[in-house]
Amino acid sequence: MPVGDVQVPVIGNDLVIPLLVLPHILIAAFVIGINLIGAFSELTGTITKKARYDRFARASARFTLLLFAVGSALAFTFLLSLITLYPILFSQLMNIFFWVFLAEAFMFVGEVIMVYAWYHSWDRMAYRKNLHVVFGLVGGLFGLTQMIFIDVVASYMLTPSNAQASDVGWTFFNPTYVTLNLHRFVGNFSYAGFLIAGWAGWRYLRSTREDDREYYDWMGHWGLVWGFGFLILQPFMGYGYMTEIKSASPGAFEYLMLGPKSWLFNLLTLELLVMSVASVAYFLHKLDFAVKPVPRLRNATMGALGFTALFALLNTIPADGYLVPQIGLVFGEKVDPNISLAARPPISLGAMYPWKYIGLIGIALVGVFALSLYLKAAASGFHWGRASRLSQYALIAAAVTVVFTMMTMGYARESARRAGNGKEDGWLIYNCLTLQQEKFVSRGCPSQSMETP
Amino acid sequence: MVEIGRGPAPPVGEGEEVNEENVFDRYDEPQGFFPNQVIADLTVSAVLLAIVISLSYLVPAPLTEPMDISTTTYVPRPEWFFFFLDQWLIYFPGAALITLGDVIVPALFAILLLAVPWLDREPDYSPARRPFVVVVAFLVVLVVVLNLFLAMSRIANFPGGTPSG
Repeated sequence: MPVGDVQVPVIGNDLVIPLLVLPHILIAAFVIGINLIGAFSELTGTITKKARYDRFARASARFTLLLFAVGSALAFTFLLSLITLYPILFSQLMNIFFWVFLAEAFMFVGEVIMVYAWYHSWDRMAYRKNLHVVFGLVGGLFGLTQMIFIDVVASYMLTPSNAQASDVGWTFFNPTYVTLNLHRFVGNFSYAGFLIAGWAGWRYLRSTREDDREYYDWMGHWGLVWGFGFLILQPFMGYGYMTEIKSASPGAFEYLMLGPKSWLFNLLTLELLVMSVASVAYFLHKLDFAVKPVPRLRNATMGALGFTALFALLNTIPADGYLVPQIGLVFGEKVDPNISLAARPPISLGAMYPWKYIGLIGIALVGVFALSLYLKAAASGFHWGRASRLSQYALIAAAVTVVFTMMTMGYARESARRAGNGKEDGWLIYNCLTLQQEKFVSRGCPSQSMETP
Repeated sequence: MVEIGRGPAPPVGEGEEVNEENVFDRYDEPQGFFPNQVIADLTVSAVLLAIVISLSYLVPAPLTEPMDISTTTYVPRPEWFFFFLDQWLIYFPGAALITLGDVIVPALFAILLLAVPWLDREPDYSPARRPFVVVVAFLVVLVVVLNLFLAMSRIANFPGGTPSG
């Protein structure tokens, strides 16, 4: 049997890659985020001289090491599967992106060296913190650079660049490359922050020692500041990313926003609602434990919570009753995929323009306001270790939701390439290579040198 | 010669007097703009000018084809160092917003730049002691660079202009 004709029984070839990539992405994004948050925590600890930052940073380093190996193993298995099941695709990608893959490999080496050095020299360099924190930061930057390199390939597959394969530099600059990097950069911090907060909430509920309760209460706060702080940037990053997809691959855009996968974005608005409301409600609760009472900030935050819920609910209103057609959850008439997003849909308040714009901009601006109030109160300190159980459930809910959000959006991005070749089976490289690897479509394929050999 | 960047000077001690003879020993103290700073600025300017003149002689800019006034498909583009400003136009589409995006916002930013000496009163040179302005400056540079990349990506992939305008 020639390589490439392998058929995976039961689940089929198409499901092998996502089953490996999904856990890899969930781990890799977390590793990048927690590595950098940990390094910044150590830096903050050296400046503020507060031991809890250092304790958290050290735990982050240990966690990074543990997860890095698992994530890398999944990445390797995924690569092996890709070569075996999609050899033509991999061969083409390798031809175009040889330098990207080569650099990616060296980034792994750099990250391994720096992160191991960071963790294992913790005690030995206890009195040289300014140097030690550099290990963590550089390790994190290597991780970030890995993402920046692999995003060249990931973005190219959905929006191939208008360049010959021999123009190495210009093949990197495909239409969604920069926006995907921004989207993922912000997302990694937010995702890691929420998970840290959720883990802290879980540990807080299970802690019996007073010092542990204080520490995990603080850790929940610290994680949420990162998680929510970066989440409120995402509406702008996501909008920019979708705008580029709309320009470069309009078929994929319509498939996502108006076609069979538009329910994913309805689901996303629900997830955004849970994370936003849980975060601002946590902030409101925490203000009760400020060292210096802040009644005015508390009242303003209560208003912010109301507006957050209002804007988040506005976002959740669907454009039509065709919620999830794949399982028969449909009511009323369907929005015509050929009409503009600005057109009036069956449910008026569900229109993209102006309601979704108002909802998304509103949730981001109110979020900035609520976070500013919270940080102002945090500057004078909180009484740690007294948080209610309910507030910790809010952290855990936000953490669980962020994982589902990553899966929802990862699935949306990958399935966008299902659209546009008229066969309902999609593309491996949009407008260039079909899912069956049968041929390269010369017409409309931006890189002419990639025509069928 | 003016010395910059050796870190903050120790505070003026009891009985110590800062005068014209010893002012340059205390590099962190206020000092006259003329002549030292002027000499330093002129020196750097002269070196840069010499580099530009040399480059213009050694690597002259090519002359492209003559202007075709009959074309209707030409998409005007700025020089690369203004790409970030060109990208800025994308965020302010339509006749009504163009003035806001490419005149008012940049003008406000230029005024803010002029006002920096009054906004940032921190006397230290060290970036570590001026976290606020350093973070703001970093974000400004980041925004410019990212917009430059976005514009490069757009121009490379849509040489005839983006479908959305």
